Amino acid sequence: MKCPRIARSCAAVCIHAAFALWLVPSVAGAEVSDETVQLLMKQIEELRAEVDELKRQRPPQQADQDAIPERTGAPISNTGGTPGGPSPSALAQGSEGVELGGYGSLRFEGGSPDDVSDTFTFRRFVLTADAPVASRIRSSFELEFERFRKLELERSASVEDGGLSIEQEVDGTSDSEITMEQMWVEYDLDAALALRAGGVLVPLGRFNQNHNDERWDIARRPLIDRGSPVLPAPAAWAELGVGGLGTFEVGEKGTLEYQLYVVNGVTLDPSVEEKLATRDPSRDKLELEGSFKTKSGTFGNDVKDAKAVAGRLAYSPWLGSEIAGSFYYGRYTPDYMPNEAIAAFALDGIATFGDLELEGEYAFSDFGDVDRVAGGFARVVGEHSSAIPGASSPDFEAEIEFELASLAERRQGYWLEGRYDLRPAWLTGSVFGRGFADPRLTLVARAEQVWIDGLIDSLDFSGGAITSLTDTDHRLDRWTIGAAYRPVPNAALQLAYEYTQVDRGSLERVTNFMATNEDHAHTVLLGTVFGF
Amino acid sequence: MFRDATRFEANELPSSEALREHVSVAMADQPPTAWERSYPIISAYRGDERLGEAVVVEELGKHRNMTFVVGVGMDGKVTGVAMMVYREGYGGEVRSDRFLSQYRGKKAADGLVPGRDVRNITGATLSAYAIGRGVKKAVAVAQYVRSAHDPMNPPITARH
Repeated sequence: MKCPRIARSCAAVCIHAAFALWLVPSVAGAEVSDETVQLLMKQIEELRAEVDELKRQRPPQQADQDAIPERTGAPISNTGGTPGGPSPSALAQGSEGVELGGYGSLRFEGGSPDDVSDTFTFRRFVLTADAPVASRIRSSFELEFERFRKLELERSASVEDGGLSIEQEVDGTSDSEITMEQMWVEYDLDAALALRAGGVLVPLGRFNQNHNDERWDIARRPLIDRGSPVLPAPAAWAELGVGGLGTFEVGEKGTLEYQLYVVNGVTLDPSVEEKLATRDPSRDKLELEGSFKTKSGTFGNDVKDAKAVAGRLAYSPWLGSEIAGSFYYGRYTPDYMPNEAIAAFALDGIATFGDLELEGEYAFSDFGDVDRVAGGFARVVGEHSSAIPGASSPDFEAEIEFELASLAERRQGYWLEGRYDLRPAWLTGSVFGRGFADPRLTLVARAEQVWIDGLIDSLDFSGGAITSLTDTDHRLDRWTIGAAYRPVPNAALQLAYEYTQVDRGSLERVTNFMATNEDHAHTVLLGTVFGF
Repeated sequence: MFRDATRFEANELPSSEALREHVSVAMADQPPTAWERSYPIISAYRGDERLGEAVVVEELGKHRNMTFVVGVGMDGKVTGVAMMVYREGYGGEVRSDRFLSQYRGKKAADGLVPGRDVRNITGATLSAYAIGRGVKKAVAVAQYVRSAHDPMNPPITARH
């Protein structure tokens, strides 16, 4: 509170006024003398004068804040709480400050492929914060630790053997990732228009916007959003940019919600992989591989002189139902490669019928003339692979290799999920449900398919020209059935069985979660999610 | 709420052990998450006829308290709910009339569980639960006020 003295005075006046108002009805039924009425009128006039004086003394920024009661409304009451009772009101704890929360999820999965180990997976822990900056300005972020436990860097420098020796060692857990999932500031101009700038979730489809794990009942994200992404970048997909969003009421029960952003956009981005291999009887090998794949755009120094646009329009005819269309369009190739764009759109929706909820999403992405991209890639790189001069010997081979990873001409697919809530009496009375207000069991089923057209299988080039390029089409199917037990809305225990198959090739070729050479897999998933 | 009213009377009901006990019994299945020090109550009249009370309550959403007013008719039914201050960063859809109108006509004995008794809003589930609890609290407070002033209107009892 910026003006505690005024605030206290205001509170005192309000209490006096409320007390006076409280007194009026209590004496209404009794004989009221003119003197009493005069006395009350005088008190009201004095209080009014005191309020006017306080308003005059109030600094401008306080007046600005009070103009928006939805954001800065003063607490009506405080609250001490009672021993053993509910927690004290957050108002007493500075509820207008930073709102810190988070969610997490982990799972155990066991499957049929012999070349995949059963494993626990720490899917992610995400720390979230939401803070009001001013009356109509707020900021929010999500920081994700995915499969992350440790990152350790050791570095030392010393003088040895007459020279300087520098050692560096990076140690950490495999497949770990730390990501700023979103970070933005929002400025409310009107109920129907807010400006948002920063790292924003791209509004393509519905999952990316609603990716919090505790909201879902299956311990694996949908294929088109994550496992075999049709979205240009897997969820949670954020881009740096600016845009507007808002909601209009349509009729008595309907709403229309829109979002439109200009962002840096997805980029065909390189990463460098190091491979060490001992080979018998051949020479040992060190390989440096430059792998190019489409990734979420950079948060600085965009490598292409073009921005992408994305938008979503959602109509909700009544509560619990929504249908939406969304799009994304933007160049994804760097300036040193041919100009090709991703054109993507999605249709999604949700419908509620009593205890049954149906939700789904269809997405389509076209990556333009991929052969042209491959040709440009070959021209820039020159040689697909080459030995490192001077590093190789009869016992050791050192090589540099470049590849275009997982690039396809088109991807499309859908997921359709049905959920049915049960609240059986036996559950409420059992050890699992005891003490919870609304424990429930949700039966869930999900059907998914993905079509990948023109997925580049191999690309060889020499002297800047393609010598061979092969691609294939694939169809990936997955069916999942399961159940989730929720003692409270933001925590669940999940059990599911899933069957995944690809029509040709291996699952490893078309997914990023099933590293098997087999073309199908039966998998059992046990998971838990929580949010706070 | 109370659109037919011709006049209003504002009161402040201080909380007390007896009131908290009454509310606790009424909300045994879903206990409140916040105890107010006092309850602003506006009584609505059409002429001399008392139409009901509007009770201002607070409940905890996911992270922050929300403040809203609940109209309770003389028959004990909810006449309307309006959000006064919504402080959460997310889930603001619960402020909409299309969500809050679901509570009109509900009584103390009715369940108000999102997804079961009222339609839920995805992403605002905890806020929806909070409004359900607040509505029950307001009804209990209104009943308490009436029971304290009108011996013909007995206090509510727990739902079994």
